[in-house]
This record gives sequence, structure tokens and C-alpha cells, in this order.
Amino acid sequence: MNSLWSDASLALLQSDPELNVGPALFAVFVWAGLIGVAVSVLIILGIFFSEVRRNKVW
Amino acid sequence: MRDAFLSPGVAWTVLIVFGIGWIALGFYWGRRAGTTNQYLFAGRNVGLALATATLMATWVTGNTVMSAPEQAYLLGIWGIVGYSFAGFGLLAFAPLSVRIKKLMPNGFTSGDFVHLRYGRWVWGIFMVISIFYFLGFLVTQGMAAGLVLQALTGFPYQVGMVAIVLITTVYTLFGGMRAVIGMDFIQALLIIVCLTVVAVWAYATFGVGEVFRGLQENEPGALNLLLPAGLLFAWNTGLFAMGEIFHSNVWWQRSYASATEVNFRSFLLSGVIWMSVPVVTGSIALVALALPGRFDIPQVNMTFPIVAAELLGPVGGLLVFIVVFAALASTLSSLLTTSATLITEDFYRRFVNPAAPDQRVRNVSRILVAVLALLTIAMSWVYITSVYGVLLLTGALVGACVWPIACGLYWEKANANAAFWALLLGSVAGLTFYFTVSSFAAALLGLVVSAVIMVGGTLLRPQSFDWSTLAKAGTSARSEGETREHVGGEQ
Repeated sequence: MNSLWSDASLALLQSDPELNVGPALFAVFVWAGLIGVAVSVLIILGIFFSEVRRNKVW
Repeated sequence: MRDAFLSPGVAWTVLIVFGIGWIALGFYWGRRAGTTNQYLFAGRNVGLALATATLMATWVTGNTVMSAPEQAYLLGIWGIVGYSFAGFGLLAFAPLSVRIKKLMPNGFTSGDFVHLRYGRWVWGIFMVISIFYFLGFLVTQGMAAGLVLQALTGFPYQVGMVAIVLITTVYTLFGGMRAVIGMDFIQALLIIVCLTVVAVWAYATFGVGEVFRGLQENEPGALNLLLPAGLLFAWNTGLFAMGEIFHSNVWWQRSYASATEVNFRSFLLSGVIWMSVPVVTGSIALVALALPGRFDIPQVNMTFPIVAAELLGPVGGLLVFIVVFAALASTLSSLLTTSATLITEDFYRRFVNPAAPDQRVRNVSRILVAVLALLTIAMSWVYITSVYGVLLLTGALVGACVWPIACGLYWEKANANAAFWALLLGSVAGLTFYFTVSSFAAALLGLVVSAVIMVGGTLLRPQSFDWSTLAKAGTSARSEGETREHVGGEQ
């Protein structure tokens, strides 16, 4: 049984299907991450100062 | 191994400045932690900004900063996407967090819930899993602190490890959850800003197009969306993260601490923000993978600091130091305070002193924070490469917790015996799979086996449960005359 599972997982790991990312999708992927992480700072700070004004921080 | 990224003088200055600054800020944030509700739950009324930041910073561990780039370097796009799947744990916990707060507004720990919902046998096995997990997590963070500081600054391994654990422990000891959450807010911002600077600098220097062409020429497999190892990695990461978050008191205590109206949004927002972090750190690693002539990577787990230092010189090394320090401190402080709470509530108050007054509960929790910190130092003293493997091993155990927790929160007929066997057999099946087949699928098998037992057992033998029983959490063990303040009452 173990051998069967091992063979199956090994075969899956060694198989070689391909679907490559194109340049446009790659650019979207990278910039989405960069913009997402940068915007998140603004979101957190925006919420924070809004809560400071409304006395809702704690 | 290459030289340190920061000179000893700069490294010591930064460490001392950060140490003093962190402890002072911890005192400042925690200056009102004079009651148990403030010390352990920051008043149970934390707003959206702090709640989101603390969840995000806690989930950004040393591994997120160092291992996500490593996975990107090894598996390409799927290494990044797969690592970011860990954010699904936070997203999936969002509705559970609302339910937890609604059912147990005075709750203390995840153990509270399991004991009241399923009884002592299920609680017993759940506590074994919880303790095994938090000890493994503490040790991996302690070792990561020593290892990464050694590489960045040239400090001896033990010096870096002890420095970060001690600084974290001091501000946690005095300020409790208020200090942890306050510091997490600052640390979350530091992590995000420093990462953004390095990543934007890298892609502004080389351009996305050049990196893409470099990958096509040198590592075309990195762009393959059907990489089997990447798919397995992604699945296991997502399920492991669900198990970690669903069972761990780190996240339950945050649910109790947050204001009711922000619970759902804070987990959702922090999950989305967190998922962009491995994308950014991984994208930095892709630059090194695409341009092998430009970057020499002798150790794959040092990809991120090498790229940052090559691009930005000592400033890059400093930015990496800040990110790593903030990531480790936020995670360690959360683990220390929530693990101490778990032991205080589920052992001390349950068995030793059920009528312990407010001050005693706080003091016991403080002592346990110090004990756990010393234990972390002792267990991390000698670096063992297989420790991360031990943490991965807990994937089988925490994976088995997902369904008993979720069913217990939502399904009135959830069967306690089924929960017991789901936890036990799910863990055994996952561990067996881990050792005999693949560590990649341990969490998956633990989760599937426990799901079948939990759902099947409940359908065969449904039990009824009075939801109002859970409202006793955090109050039943206390005497009538004790002095704890009204929940969420103080501002």
C-alpha cells in the first residue's frame, strides 16, 4: 500500500505538464503584489486615523 | 557562506536602538494594562486598524520573509502563489471569529470552547495538539532569530536568538496584549514599507520585462503554472494554515480582544493584505532567479537579504534587518502571550485555583510568559536543521482540528465522541502519511480523515447542544466575589 502511494506521488512529482505564464500575466502578477502591498499601508493608516478621530482605536 | 550584510558597529547600534525603542513603546502601549481584561484582551474592544495590523503582523513570521523567497527560488511562480495560500487560513477564520465572539463574549481561550462544547476527553487531546504546536512554533521562531541575525550581522547564533526573545519578552511581560497589539501595528507598517522599498527598487532597476525574459531563458520551469510539486505545496500550505489558525489560541484570543463589529472585516482584510507579502518577497527572489550572473545565491534561504544587499548596499541589509526583526518580534510576542493565557486558563484556573482573583490571574500569566521565553531560549540554544520539519509534522495534527472546531461552532448536533475520534484518528492518519509517503500531504490527509469521522459520526449519532452553555466561558470558574471588571466596560 505504501509503495503504491509512493509510486503514485513520485509519478505525479516527476510528470511534466506545462502551461507557462506569458509576459502580460507576469507583469500583472508582480505589479498587483507591489501595488497591493503599498496600498495596504494607506488602507491601514486611513482606518487608523479615522478611528482616532472617532475614538474607536481600542 | 558570504560575509555579514551589516558591519558589527551598525548591527549593534541598530539592535540597541530597536531594543530600547520596542521596550519603551511596549510600556507606552501597555501602560493601561492594569486589569486582566486589559492585560490579556486589550479591553475586548480593539478597533479595525489595530485588529487588522496585529493579525497581519503575527501571521508574517520569520518563515514568510525568508522561506517565501526560498520557495519562489525553488518553485518559481507556484512557490509564491503556494505560499500566499496560507492567507486563506485568515480568510476562512473570519466568519468563525464572529461566531466565537457571539457565543463566548467573555471567553478566554480555544480550550474554553473545546471543554464546554465537547467535554474533557476531547479537550485533553486538543490541549496536547495545542501545546505541541505552540512549542514547535516558538522554537522555530527562536532558531530563525538566531540564524537570520547571524547571517545579517555576524552575531553569534545564541546572541541574536537571546536578544530578540528577551526584547520581545520584556514588552510582552509588562504590557500584555495591549503592548503586543500596539507594537504589532507599528511592526506591520514597518514590514510592509521596507518590503515595498526593496521590491520596487528591484523591479525599477531591472524592469518586469527583463526579469520575465531572464526567467524564460534561464529558468522556464519557474513560469509553469502546472508544476506538480508547486500544486502540492500550495494545497498543503493552505490546509496547514487553516489547521493552524482554526485551533490556535493566537487567533481565538484576537477574536475575543477585537470589537464585535470588526471581527469579520479584520480577518478578511488582514488575509488579503497578508497574501500580498509572499508575492512581494517571492517576486524579489524571481529577480535573482532570472539574472543568475548578477546575483550569487550560495544559500537559497538567504535569497531575500542577498538581493536587497546587492541592490541597496548596507541600506538593503538594514531594511532586511528591520523586516526580520519586526516579523519575529510580532510573532514571538503573540505566541508568548496567547500560550501563557492558554496555560493560565486551561490548567491553572481549571485545576489549581478556579477562584483566582484578577490580580493573581494576571501574575500567573506574567510568570508563564517568562517561563515560556526561557523555555524557548533553552530549546533553541542549539540549532537543529530538522526543527522546521517538526513544525511541518504538526500539520497532520492541526489539520485534524479543522472540522471538529468548525462543526462545534456551527452544528448543534455535532457529536462529542465523533470529535474525539476525528482528532485522534485524523492525527494518526496524517502522521502516518507524513512518515511513509509525503510531508506535503500530511495536513490534507489529517483534515480529510477527521472530516469523514466528524460528519459521519454526527450523522449516525446526532447529539443536541445548548448554545447558551458556551456563554459560561471565562466566567464559570470564577467565584461570585472576584474582582474582574465588567467585560469590555473600561475605556
